[in-house]
Amino acid sequence: MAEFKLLNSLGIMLLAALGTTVVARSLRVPNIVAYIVAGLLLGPTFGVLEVTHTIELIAEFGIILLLFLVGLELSLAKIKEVGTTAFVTGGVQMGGTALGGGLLAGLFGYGVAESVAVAVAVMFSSTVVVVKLLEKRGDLGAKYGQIAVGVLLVQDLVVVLVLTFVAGLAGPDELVWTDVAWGLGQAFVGMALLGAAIVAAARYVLPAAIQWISQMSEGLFIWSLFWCFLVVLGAEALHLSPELGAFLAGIAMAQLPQCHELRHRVHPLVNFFVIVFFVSLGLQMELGAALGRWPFALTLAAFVMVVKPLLFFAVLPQLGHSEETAVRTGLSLAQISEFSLIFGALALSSGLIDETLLSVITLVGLVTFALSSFLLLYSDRLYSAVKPYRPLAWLGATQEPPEPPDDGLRDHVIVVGMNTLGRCLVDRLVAAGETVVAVDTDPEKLAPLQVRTVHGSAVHGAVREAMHLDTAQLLVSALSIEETNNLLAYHARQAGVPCSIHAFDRTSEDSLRTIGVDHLIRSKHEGARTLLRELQSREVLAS
Amino acid sequence: MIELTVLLGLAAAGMGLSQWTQFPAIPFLLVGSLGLSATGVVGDPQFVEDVLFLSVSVLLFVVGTDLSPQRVGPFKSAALRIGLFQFVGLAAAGVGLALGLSYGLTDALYLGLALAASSTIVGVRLLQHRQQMFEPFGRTVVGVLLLQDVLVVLLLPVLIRFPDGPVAMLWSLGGTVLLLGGVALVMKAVVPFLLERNLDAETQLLAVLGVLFGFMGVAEWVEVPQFAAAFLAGVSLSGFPFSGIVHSEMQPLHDFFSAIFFASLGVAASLPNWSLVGHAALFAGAVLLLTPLLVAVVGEWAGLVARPAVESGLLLSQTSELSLVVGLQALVVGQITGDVFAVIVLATVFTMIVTPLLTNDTVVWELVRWHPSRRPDPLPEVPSGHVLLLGGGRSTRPILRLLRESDYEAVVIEEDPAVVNRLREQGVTCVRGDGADLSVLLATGAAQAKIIVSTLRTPTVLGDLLHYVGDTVPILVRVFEDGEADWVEARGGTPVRFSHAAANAFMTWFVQEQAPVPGTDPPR
Repeated sequence: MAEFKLLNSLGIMLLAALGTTVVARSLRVPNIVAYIVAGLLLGPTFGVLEVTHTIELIAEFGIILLLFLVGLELSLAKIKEVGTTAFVTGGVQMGGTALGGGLLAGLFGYGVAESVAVAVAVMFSSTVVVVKLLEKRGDLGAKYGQIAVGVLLVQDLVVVLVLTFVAGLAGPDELVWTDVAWGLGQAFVGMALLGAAIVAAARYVLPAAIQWISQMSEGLFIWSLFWCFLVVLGAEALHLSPELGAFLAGIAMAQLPQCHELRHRVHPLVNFFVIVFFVSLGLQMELGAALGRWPFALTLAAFVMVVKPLLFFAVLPQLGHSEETAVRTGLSLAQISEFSLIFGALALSSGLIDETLLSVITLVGLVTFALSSFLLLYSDRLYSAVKPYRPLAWLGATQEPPEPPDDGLRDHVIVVGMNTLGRCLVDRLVAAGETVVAVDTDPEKLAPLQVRTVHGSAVHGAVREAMHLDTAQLLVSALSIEETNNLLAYHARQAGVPCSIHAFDRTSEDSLRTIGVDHLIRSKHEGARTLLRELQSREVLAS
Repeated sequence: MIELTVLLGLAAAGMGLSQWTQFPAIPFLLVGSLGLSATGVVGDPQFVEDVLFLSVSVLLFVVGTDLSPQRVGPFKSAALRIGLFQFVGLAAAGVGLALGLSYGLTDALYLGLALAASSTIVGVRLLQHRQQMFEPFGRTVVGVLLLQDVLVVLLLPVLIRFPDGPVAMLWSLGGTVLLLGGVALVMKAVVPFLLERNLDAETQLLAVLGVLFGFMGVAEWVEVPQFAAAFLAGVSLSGFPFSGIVHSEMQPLHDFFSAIFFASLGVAASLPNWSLVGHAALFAGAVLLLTPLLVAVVGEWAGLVARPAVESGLLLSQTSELSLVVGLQALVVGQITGDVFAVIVLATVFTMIVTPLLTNDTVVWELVRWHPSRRPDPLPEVPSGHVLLLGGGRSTRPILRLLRESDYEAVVIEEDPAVVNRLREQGVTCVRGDGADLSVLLATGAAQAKIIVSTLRTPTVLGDLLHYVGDTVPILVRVFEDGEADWVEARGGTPVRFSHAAANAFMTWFVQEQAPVPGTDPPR
């Protein structure tokens, strides 16, 4: 049916992505590559599907939500830490890559305009690929992850400048400087305005508003998403990139106590949209014309994958960062960007390049996305392999001493649900000298506690990781929610951790016994005994 | 981008109003959506329609994953009786009313089906808010809602083919049976496979979405409505523990897409004129009047006493989000017009707005007073100097056993007829009634009791009792939360803190577990 065209298209995309992912997992290939391959098969190879306007929008939402999630993960303090490094490193990398890429294009016989286009196309790295993989590895908070994200954001600012220049082009040989100056002015003023608006909102509006709506869990989620897209619209109105707007929206929310719960909720939404993004990326790749220029394409891909990391290897140690940080940052940014493909399309429409060169850029994108995914995912193993040889010692890089073993939580007791029962359990366990982790979805219930706390729903995998379920001595649930208790008991069994679960009525007792718990907290039974004692003390019943 | 931001803005506004007024968000979203459509702010209706259909699919899929009969517990029989009677009764009334208002037969059938089911979202939300999910009537209501969801989704494919004749209807039914086979296959083969694999969250989500879109693909092939297939795909993943795992991944998508769904429905509906508003009001009135009546009568037959029966009826007296899906599906295939769909939307708005107003204690008690089968169950004479127990559940068994050995008579007030019969067989004086009903309490000698013990789940229903006899008769009240304890104490009662008792018992167990067994290593 025409009415369900989007559903059918999405269905084909997701099923194809599932199929290629199954194959990719057996070959230990990153999911991202599988998604792009799915798109390639559906689009350029077999011509099954075309990208509609709605699918393009859904894909764009993926990037926006991903950057919103990145903003939620970072704090202002972390950003300040890496700001200078990101600017300097990013600037050197972009300049060096552009210069090298342009010269390489010239060596292969391209003209000035085409060489400049190639230079611009190769200087950016992929925000979506890098951020997605960093997030998958849990390394967004690691030093190299922060630097990589910082460099990508600096590149986003440069994107604005590039787009301004392209907009000022009246033809392949003509630049209207007044248009360029006007565009640049707008961009700077826009950034200042957006920044000021977000700071004001984060200080005076968001805390109270989010606090109020967070009593309704869907309300918190929807309000946060609305805030994100509102800022994105604002960024677009000010001629800034939507990704930058989404990132800033996330930063504004990251300072609020509800950000943890929000992160867990945004995650699955990001996963869904980003899968669509990568499949649609593959759908839109036109590679046919590139095959005739494969030597240049492969040389350019090799240039990107070798020179970009080398630039980071060279610069980061000079800024005081360790060898490992330099290596892993470089490896993570060894690809061109999805913006390179967009820029290529713009350059084609402006007459700067022809379709063959656009195909070459696309092929370079495909190769570098795929290979750099491997590099990023396995960067720790790669570094471990070369570490004994001190590869960057000649650049003055120092190796950090091995990190002390993680003395994170072990043998602690996790108490889920800070109702009265939960708080009683926490108090009594602490009084007995136990290390306790308290978990609840309401930050206000956690705030007055003097123990380690985790904010979020314990059914989320990320929350279970944060509460270190695998190394706990006991999981206790004080909740009166049957489904959650059953799931907690199941996960405790899977992790081999004993559990004590609140059985608040007979039906819930039966289902918990079936799952297999170590101890049931039978509040009605124990309360009845207290009632008996009370009646005995009043001489209604014999002692 | 603008369209999505507008829809999210509308959803955010609706949720803000909901939080402020404590009414469900859905009616605000629906009204806003109709208004939005009228203003023409939405510049890309194709995008909105695309997202609307995607939202419906995700919504129904997640509804399907919630289909767990275990949630109903031992009240399946009651839920089945109440659910069927309500469904058939309302459907018949809806069809009759529609025909009376000069709608065609097809329109009338869809209106009837749309009126027949109650809202799972609203019903469950109200039960959770009042912490009544696990009371007997709460479980019964959940069972009714699940049953009606199934009935609507299974009837929809048949109804869609109604204009094409019986052969087409049979074909559609056959296609639905094939999908049901797919449900069994996924449950038996795919889910255990996925559980074994221990997949990361992203791949798991992809697998789950693969099941959803796989079902929808098959549905298109066998010409069954894709929305029904989305629901059945969810059902295939509704078994424990995979449903819980799916939920944690799909809940954010559900929240997002259901907000978008309600906010974008107006694109599909016509802007209603006053005549349509009047029709919608009539249909809503039928639901609001007939549902409590049907459910109260059938509920008591099924074993609920007066108050839970009345309260169940009031909780169920609204049309469902599935009513909107039924209407949307019919609109998409051209079997109803935008006007009829607008009537369904408005009826849903009206009933969802009114339900929270109806389900407050004042209305409930007023209706209970008029309940025809609320027969007094008096004692031959009003006892005195006895122990009055409110609630005859398991908590009171040891008390009753010991009271038999004491000098005090025990009188129990209990609403569950099965418990009443059991206690009477044991020789306990038991009155069938509501322990929160002051007239019942006074008839059982509350003012003359030696002591009153309440094991009712919600202590705050004892306000009248505490006010009336709290100064003269000691009243022990079971409480779980410290706030409840403070409330009881402030009114002269004595709270018995079950949570604290449970915590003490837990610590006894914990310390024993920690203690070294002689001859073994000491505990960690």
